Amino acid sequence: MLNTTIFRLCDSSRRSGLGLMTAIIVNVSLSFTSVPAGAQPAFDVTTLAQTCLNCHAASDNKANKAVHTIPQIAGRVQETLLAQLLAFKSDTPPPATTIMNRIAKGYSDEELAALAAYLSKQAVVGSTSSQGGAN
Amino acid sequence: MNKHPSLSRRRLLKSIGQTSAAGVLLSSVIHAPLFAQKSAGRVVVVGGGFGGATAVKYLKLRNPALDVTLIEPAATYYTCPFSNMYLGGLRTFDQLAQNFDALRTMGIRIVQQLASDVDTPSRSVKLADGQSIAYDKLVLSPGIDFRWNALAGYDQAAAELAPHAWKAGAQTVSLKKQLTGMPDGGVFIMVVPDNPYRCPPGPYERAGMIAHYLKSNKPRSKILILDSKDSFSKQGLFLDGWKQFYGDMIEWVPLSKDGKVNRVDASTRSVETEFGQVHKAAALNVIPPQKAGVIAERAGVLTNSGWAPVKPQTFESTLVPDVYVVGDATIANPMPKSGFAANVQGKVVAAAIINALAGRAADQAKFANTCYSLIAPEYGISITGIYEVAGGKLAEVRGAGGISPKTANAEFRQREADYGEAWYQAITQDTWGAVKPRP
Repeated sequence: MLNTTIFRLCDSSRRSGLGLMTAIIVNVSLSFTSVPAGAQPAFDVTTLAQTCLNCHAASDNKANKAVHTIPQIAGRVQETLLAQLLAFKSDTPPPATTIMNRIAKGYSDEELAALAAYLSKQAVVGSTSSQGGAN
Repeated sequence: MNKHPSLSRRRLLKSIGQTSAAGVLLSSVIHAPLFAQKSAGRVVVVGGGFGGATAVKYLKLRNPALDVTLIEPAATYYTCPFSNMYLGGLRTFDQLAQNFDALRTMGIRIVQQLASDVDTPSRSVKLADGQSIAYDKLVLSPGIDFRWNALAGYDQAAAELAPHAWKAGAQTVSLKKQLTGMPDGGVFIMVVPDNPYRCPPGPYERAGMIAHYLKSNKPRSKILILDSKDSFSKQGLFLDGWKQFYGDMIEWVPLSKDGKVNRVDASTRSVETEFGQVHKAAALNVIPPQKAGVIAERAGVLTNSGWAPVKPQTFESTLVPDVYVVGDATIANPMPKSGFAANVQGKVVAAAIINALAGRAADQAKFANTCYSLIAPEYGISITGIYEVAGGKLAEVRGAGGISPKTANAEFRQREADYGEAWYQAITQDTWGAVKPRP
């Protein structure tokens, strides 16, 4: 699987200094100097990125192998993340793609760039599952 | 590696909600907390499912100084997602269980009681024991309730004999008992309502999982789906998959072929259709018409439709200020009523409340949903959608989303089955698990 392979290459570059929840607001108007600041609501990349966690677990759960079937994306190299997201969004997604092509097309290039930047700075965190490890 | 992870984390968390200056791109500047000594606001959340549990967790993560309370009567929450796999024998009942211990360790106050009423003018929630809890902002995540007797003969007593199993728990166990107790050669009947209802693909996933059980245990049996509508989510993919794995075992009868059930006789496990056909079941599963959970009605956030209209950018009620509604109870179409959607709405509401309490404008909102369905253990399918606010309404982002391809090889279907399993692990952890820095 192409995407898994690419992500594995970056394992060594995971960063662990920053917590998961650093609040970062990206003002869209930054990218377009002709648009006056405040003309439209900014998107909050934190909230956007939180959606990713519904499938790409943020926690490192060694007791639970199933969760890692979907690649971890926290702490990967920013350029790699962005290249992968743009490949998913393109009309010729990587061959093993099942769903990320359908998802990536829903986001602007600016949003994908902000997501890649944000996710690259997230640490994989330990997790206390609410379940007793039964899974 | 940071030498003082706990200190660092505490400072980071305190900064959340205050790192607001527009144009601060990827900043990790730590601001002095504005509300460190007193409560930054009181937020009460009613309902500990996907929407409510996510909301309390992400409110607390964004601003630990907030006073966050979750009101949920059950000590254990059983997820509807994957309850079909329990029926199919792929999962134990205990594996559907979630609890609130991890959220409690984050400093969220868990009140194990039923919220019986809401006094919106004085902004307080009344509990079943008579006490009240005051709020600055209220989030309702009440899920669904059933319209008893909207389908003639189907009331709470009938549900004991012909389970809906559409809220996971004792009802799910009851349906499993009927399934395991039915004779080989019997008919399992599922009655399916018209839209809108919780989990659009759920009945059809259930049919596949019941078939999976019957195929190896009672292979002469049949499944009859009596449907009040003419089309359903991922229909083509389901019909193809059923044929491939179960031959003619599953028969789907749409509205146009007299699939609509008008009367239920639970004591004889029989149902009568619109045009008077009577079907008798060895096991009977009735999924009745639904509405928002009753506390939403008490709070006055529902229209005559029985569902809650919300402002699409914040999910604040359009009818009552300072009350937000998330999950199945809302009118959020084209977003479906799903656990995934409720979780994402919970995160958007958390951000919206943080902004509102700080006097800031709401962020631009974007939502997503993904529903995996299992047809056989090695065969999964999916539907996904990305949603934005356009013209003041929720709308699907054009060109994005959609269902799994109609033609795909076995490896593709296996991968989506595996991803569905991984999704369940990830989202339950995201919703009910605590976040702690790695030691």
